[in-house]
Amino acid sequence: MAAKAPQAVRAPGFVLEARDVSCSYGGADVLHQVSLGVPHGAIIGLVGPNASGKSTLLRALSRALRPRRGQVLLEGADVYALPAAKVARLLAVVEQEGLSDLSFTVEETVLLGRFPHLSRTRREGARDWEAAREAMRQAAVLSLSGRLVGELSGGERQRVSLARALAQEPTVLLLDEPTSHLDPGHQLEVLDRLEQLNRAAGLTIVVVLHDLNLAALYAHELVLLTSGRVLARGTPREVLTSDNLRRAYGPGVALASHPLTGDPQVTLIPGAEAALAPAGRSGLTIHVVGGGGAAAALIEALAAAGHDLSAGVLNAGDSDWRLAGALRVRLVEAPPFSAIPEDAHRRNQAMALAADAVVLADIPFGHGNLANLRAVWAAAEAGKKVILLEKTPPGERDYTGGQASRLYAAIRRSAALVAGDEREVIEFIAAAESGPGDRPWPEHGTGPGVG
Amino acid sequence: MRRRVNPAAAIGLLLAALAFSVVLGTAFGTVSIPFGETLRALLSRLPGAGWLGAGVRETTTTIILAVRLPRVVLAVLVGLALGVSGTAFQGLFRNPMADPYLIGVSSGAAAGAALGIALHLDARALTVWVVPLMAFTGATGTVFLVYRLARRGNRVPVADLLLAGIAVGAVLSALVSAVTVFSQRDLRQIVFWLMGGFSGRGWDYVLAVTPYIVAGTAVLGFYARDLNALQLGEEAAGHLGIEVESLKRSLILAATLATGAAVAASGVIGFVGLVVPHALRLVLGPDHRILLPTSGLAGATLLVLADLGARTVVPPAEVPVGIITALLGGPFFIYLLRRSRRGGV
Repeated sequence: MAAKAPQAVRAPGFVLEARDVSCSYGGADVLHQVSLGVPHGAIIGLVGPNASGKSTLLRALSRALRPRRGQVLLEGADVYALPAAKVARLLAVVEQEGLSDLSFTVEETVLLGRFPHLSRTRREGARDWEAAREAMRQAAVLSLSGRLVGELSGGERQRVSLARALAQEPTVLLLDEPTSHLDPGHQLEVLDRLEQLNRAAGLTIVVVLHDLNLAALYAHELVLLTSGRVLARGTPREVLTSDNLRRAYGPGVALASHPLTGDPQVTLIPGAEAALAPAGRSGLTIHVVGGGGAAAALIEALAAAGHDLSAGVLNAGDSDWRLAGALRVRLVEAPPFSAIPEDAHRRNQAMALAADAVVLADIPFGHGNLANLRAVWAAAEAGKKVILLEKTPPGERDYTGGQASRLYAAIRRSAALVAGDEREVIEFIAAAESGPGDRPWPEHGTGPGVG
Repeated sequence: MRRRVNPAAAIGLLLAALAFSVVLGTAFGTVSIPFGETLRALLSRLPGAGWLGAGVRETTTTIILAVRLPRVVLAVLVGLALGVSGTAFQGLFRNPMADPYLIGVSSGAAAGAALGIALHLDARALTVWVVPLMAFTGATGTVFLVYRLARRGNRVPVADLLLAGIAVGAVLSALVSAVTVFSQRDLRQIVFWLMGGFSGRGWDYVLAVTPYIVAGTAVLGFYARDLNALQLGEEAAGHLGIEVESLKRSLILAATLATGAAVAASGVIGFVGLVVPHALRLVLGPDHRILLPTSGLAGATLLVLADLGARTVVPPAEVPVGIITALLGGPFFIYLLRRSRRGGV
């Protein structure tokens, strides 16, 4: 690569940009107000678990799925307002499904990439053939040029699809899992070529990758999506932290580092999921009462253990609320910094009564959130299993002049379990799940009962 | 590497075949006219070639130019419309089993025509054009209805088009059956119309359908390269710079005008729009720049020959052309199906 600073040649601003993009496929939004700026000459990797919205974001960026709200800008202009042909001269897409059973030859298929550069009356000329051959060379499919696409393997078709996109001679290339059908050797080959094009020709690349290790090796910047929201973005080192991985993928994905490059790499821990959630994904329905960040660790641990969570009443904007939103926990919310309205309290109480168990985080109690305590008390009265997370004694958290303490004591008396930390909460619940069917819950104070 | 027939050679061959079949179609009939005489009579109408007509009898010239030639030319036009529209629909639906009647042209035309015949509207309106007009209106109206039913916001998914076409087609078929059953006197006429044919069609029919068929097929030819790109999938075609929804609209409109006019003039002639594009794709490959013109030429040739068969199998009676095309097309299609299943398309 020539010794010029990439920053110096970058045009100001972004070549492609998503602004507060929300998308749906007719029903609920699958992408929630996502913003993403793609600078000239960048390689941006979109990663995240299944159904996290990364392919949807790519489709929105590629003019294939008009956002329900928000804008996508290509060189500063709204792509959905630009003519398709103009967009196609700047931006090419390698789709995930790749090519179907076409009876076109590879050469004919790649030549279709010249479509946006041809006028109605002009046939493909020498220039177009040259571009197609160059694209085939770059995607390593030159030797297949006379074969029918329908006769090729999945991996070969993926490379033909890439060649077709490169024949468009785009400024920005969007790829949706371009290596999913490739063996490790071809995965590296394709990504190496993309990196080479990025360096030599300044091709800007946005690529959805399932494989976090490949993403860490090739992307300048990663965007980690979960449940249609951006969980983290930055360099691979910033994004691929054990915390983020656990939040996005659960407990079975751990962090390591590449033996040669030192880039973050992930390894998989078999059985980790099962160890934390004995009953697997069909865990219990648990209602968490929290607020202000006191329940964040609890919600994360319970979600990671595979339980179906609800939470309430959380003030919009606080860190419990943000995490619960990111994890798609059903929640009852109240306006920021304000007392719990009556209807929110009622919904909170209904959720608590509908759950298999209720966990109260060790939140401070004021007059504003006393309703939370009342909801837990109602659940305990109704015979629900209640776990009290008590890292600090409740008396020290009472700012209601004793009112909260009295209510708290009443809850404790009604056979609630008291946990000293999040781990104990998980253990109580795990014990309940793996216990004998007719006795799903360890009776408080009675010891192991034998029928 | 796949071996394909050279497209230029194929076009040349098909042009020659069409010219030959046109002469054949005008030479044979209830009265056979020698091939040479037919050719002379036909060519004598070309500018500067009047001397060729010397020695050809007046009645012969009349039979050839006023009776047989318009019918043959109409068969050429209808075959062109069905072949080209069939290719476009198979490309649009990305399905080799699609035909030009898929989304309601035939059922709509049949319903319109059956009503026109059963209610004796031609006698009341004192014009023979009532039935063709009702057929054309039924055909285009039905496609419009199907298109509207399949629309979701500003998109029209082809799968929905297909389903809406099936549903509307079923209702209209029931209507046609009902009309046929309750109007026994006209049963034969309706059935004949449904099977399709060129019997008694003169130059007026040719003039009436020419604008629709020529314009419709020309528009479809204009989009040949777009149809190629569409084979990659609708979203991929969009990424290549095609406004897919407006392309679909144009293709459906053009094909509907062409086949609507064809059906209005000659009834529902089956299998041409299905078998011809399918067979040519197997031989010539999937490039619509080649498929569209060759399908038009082959469709025209096939229909001229099928009409010749219809006139000459059991003279002086005429068999509906639709029966001939189905009799030839069905077995041929089975052959293609078995061949492609064995050897891969």
